[in-house]
Amino acid sequence: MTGTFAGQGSRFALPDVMGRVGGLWDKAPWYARYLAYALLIAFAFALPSETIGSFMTPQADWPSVLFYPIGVYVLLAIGLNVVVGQAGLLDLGFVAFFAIGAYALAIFATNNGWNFWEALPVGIIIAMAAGVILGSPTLRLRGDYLAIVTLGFGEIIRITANNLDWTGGPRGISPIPYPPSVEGFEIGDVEPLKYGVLDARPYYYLLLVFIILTIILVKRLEKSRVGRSWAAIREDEDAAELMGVPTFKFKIVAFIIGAAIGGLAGVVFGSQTTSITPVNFPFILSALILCAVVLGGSGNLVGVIVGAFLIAWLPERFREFADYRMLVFGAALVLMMIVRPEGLIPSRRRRAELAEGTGGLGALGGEAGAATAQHVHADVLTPAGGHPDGGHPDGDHADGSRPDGSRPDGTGGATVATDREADR
Amino acid sequence: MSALLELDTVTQRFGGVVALSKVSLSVPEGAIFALIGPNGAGKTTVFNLITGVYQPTEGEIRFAGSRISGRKPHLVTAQGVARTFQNIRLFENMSALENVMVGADARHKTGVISAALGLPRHRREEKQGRERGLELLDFVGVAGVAEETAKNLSYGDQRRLEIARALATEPKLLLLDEPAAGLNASEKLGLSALIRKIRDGGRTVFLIEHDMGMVMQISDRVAVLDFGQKISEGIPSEVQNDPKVIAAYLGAPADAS
Ligand SMILES: Nc1ncnc2c1ncn2[C@@H]1O[C@H](COP(=O)(O)OP(=O)(O)O)[C@@H](O)[C@H]1O
Ligand SMILES: [Mg+2]
Repeated sequence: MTGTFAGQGSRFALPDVMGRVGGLWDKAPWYARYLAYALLIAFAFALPSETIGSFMTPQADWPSVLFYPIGVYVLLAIGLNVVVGQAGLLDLGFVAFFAIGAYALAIFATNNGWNFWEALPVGIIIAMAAGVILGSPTLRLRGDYLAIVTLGFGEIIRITANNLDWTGGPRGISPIPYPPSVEGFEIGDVEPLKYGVLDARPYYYLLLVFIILTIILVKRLEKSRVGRSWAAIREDEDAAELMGVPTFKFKIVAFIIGAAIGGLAGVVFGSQTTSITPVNFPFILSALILCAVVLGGSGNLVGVIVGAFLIAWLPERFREFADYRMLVFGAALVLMMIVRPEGLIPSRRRRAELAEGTGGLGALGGEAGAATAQHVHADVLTPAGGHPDGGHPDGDHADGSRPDGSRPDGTGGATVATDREADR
Repeated sequence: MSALLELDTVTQRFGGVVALSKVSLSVPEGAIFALIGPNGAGKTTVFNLITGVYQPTEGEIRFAGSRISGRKPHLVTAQGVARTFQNIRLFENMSALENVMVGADARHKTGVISAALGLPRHRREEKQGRERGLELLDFVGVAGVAEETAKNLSYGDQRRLEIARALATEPKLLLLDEPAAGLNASEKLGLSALIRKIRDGGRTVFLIEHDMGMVMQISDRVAVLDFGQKISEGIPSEVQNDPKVIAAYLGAPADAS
């Protein structure tokens, strides 16, 4: 099938390492896993230290960079991964939900005097509502259409914000108040609940808590019937529907969850930046996050987080080359598609999908795989071999094969001239 | 025996092609009902109409007394109809067990919120789905490959897995589209036994099959389609000796379009 040139041969040695780690992980007892989680979380909380920072971003304030772009990109990528990696829906306008969350906070805080915690749920709900509005007409469409419509949506939100008075037009909105602080609470040299201008660490911790909660949520869904339904939709939407999966509902659900996470990221982002303008939400941000998801390994959470981290951190670390980052990421994407299309740390299932050429983006490439099984036995009884399957259930009328030559009298025997489809 | 499924003068056109023309069928509850006919006769179209993939151009389809034509496929499945495909359509990169669990989910009530919160009710359903899945893999005879990726299964096992996945939706009516295609003689015998076992378990089986030996042996009733029209129906021995059926199968070469 297609993609074999990428699917075999030239690969980095990485997959074997990852495979082995994955195997160990699966076999590890529960307490070992929880210990690993605890260590990871402790590490994440220790990340903003100066020692680490002096290496990671010598030219910038490391905690600020950890918050934005790194933390925000990671959260956005986790959200987009639900849509693209899990449900296989190509969303090119994910930044729209991020913008909606940020604007919701800014508007409710400056106009209505709401604080962060009041605006947070409302921002998320508005983003989800936008997900429903965008999703209900478009999710009935397949792959490419969805990509185009979502791309348009991302631009519409930005341009609207640019042209309305109550969103501040091109000047945007400022100042956005900080989240309410809890004074006098200190751990070492940090006051983790004191939100101000100087120290970015409290914002990073806030974001980190949301990231952890989001990961727990997303992981639970992935392992449940919801994740199974997404996987089934990605593999064969028609078959999934016929096996009782309400495909439209689960696609909308993926979209809404993605939107909620994007909105959450927006609210948290807005709380730290003090001012937002439409230029914070360009199409290129959608593209970068998608890039993180695909580079990292669609569907695999660890891969996606690593992908987002790299995409956010590299330009900060190597500022002298920051102008070239699009070029570099573009080249990296092309290179990855050639040598390692499944991403840095792919999900096991996704790796298999790519190896057989059903494509990385679910619905976009999912139609190719259906007929493969037929080849297996083609030599046993079927006179003709495989037949590329059309898009609809049982595209069998496209084939010229007759599975069995037996006749009504039960004697078996050669196919008579009844094979009307042969020359279709 | 009352009719579980009824097709009432159903016509299906695809543009200029009349795939089915005024076909009426009545599948008795608890039976193995077979539909035969040359390639292109319209058999698979019948299944696609029953399961809601297409809406009939004319006519009506009733299942257990209520009209199902016009419903979405997943709702038809919820009513108690499940199917397999002429060309196997498993979720190839999911394990055999996961494939069956997708089917079992059709009967599950907990959704996104209980999954997100990890509610006990949800966990219980997950556990039940897994157990039911393993049970069904065992029932169709592929228990040994539960954790295997579906596409790595042998062809015969894939066919059986498709049946298990369909059974997991707990159908009253099971539609099998050429389940014996590509199987060898001994695999066919095993399949016949499995189909009987399914029927004896209280489900109705609607079978499309080319293997006449198998059809004549296991079916309670047989209908014959030719060029989208029902040309014969009855118990196997009647159909077998119907001159119209013999003519259709021996084929007037004139109709080989
Ligand atoms: N979606 C479709 N679009 C156009 N023609 C179709 C479609 N589905 C089936 N047909 C046509 O209807 C006729 C019956 O097909 P089918 O039901 O697959 O036959 P069978 O299963 O008996 O071999 C064929 O001529 C086929 O080409
Ligand atoms: Mg057919």
